[in-house]
Amino acid sequence: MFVERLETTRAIQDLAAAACTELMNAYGVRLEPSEAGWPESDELMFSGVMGFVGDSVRGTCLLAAAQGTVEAAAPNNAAARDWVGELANQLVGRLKAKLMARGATIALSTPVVLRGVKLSPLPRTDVAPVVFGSAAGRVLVWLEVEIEDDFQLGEQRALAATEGELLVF
Amino acid sequence: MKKVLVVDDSETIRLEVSRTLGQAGFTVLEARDGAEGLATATKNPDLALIVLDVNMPVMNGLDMLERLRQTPTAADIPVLLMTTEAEDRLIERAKKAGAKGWFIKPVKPEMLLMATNKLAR
Repeated sequence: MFVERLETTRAIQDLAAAACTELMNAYGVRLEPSEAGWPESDELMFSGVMGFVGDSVRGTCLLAAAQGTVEAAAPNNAAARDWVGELANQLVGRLKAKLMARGATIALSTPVVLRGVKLSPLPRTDVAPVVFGSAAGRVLVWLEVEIEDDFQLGEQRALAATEGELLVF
Repeated sequence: MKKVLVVDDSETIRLEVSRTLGQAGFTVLEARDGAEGLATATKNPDLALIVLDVNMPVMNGLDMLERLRQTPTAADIPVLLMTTEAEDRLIERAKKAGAKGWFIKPVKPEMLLMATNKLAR
């Protein structure tokens, strides 16, 4: 039976937050943790949402960022709609690698994207989304996670390959 | 001129791959998912390489790779997976289906060009 456990949600959200910092840094946007929360604003936001599921853990991950932040992290002439979906995909790919390194395997869905103003997260639990600031604007990472009752994150181990690596067969 | 097919559901990734390889003298074809990719590969058996994402709607990259290997006219086209995935089981599945390489995103343009020059027939 799947259950929600706040400390596990918090631990996995921390992994996702670390993955987000690494990902955005790889695309030239340096994130800093922010205490400012996520106030509603008229700024246009883009958001990518992906589900993931494994034998012992499943959930949903949302990445939201101001349009300027998405564009700052994008290659030339990229459309924000397309790129926030790809960022969400790469974010959950990195989260998957971090979970695999701790003994949990998940499969990923494909991303869905939304945009709008005055968007606010409404978490189901007491685990608040992680908010970052950057020179290009703000970023939010939000996870909701369910686990098998006996699920534990294992000790970290090295993986065969990591981001940016080429394996030739 | 050698032809490369890039299959990715992200338009931005397709454009980036097209730009990088196009500037190096490759002709680049594009497809948005595995089903489109399979159709394009079947019509272009002279492809020098397919650069293939894994997580895509309609048909994923590993399903496309396995179907490609059952298509007599296109079975020998070299395939380089380019994906966010780093799961051993998926990498082994690609290897078993005869993929030539596995790139974990993000991929720097110079690395993509190096891999393409190495793996394209």
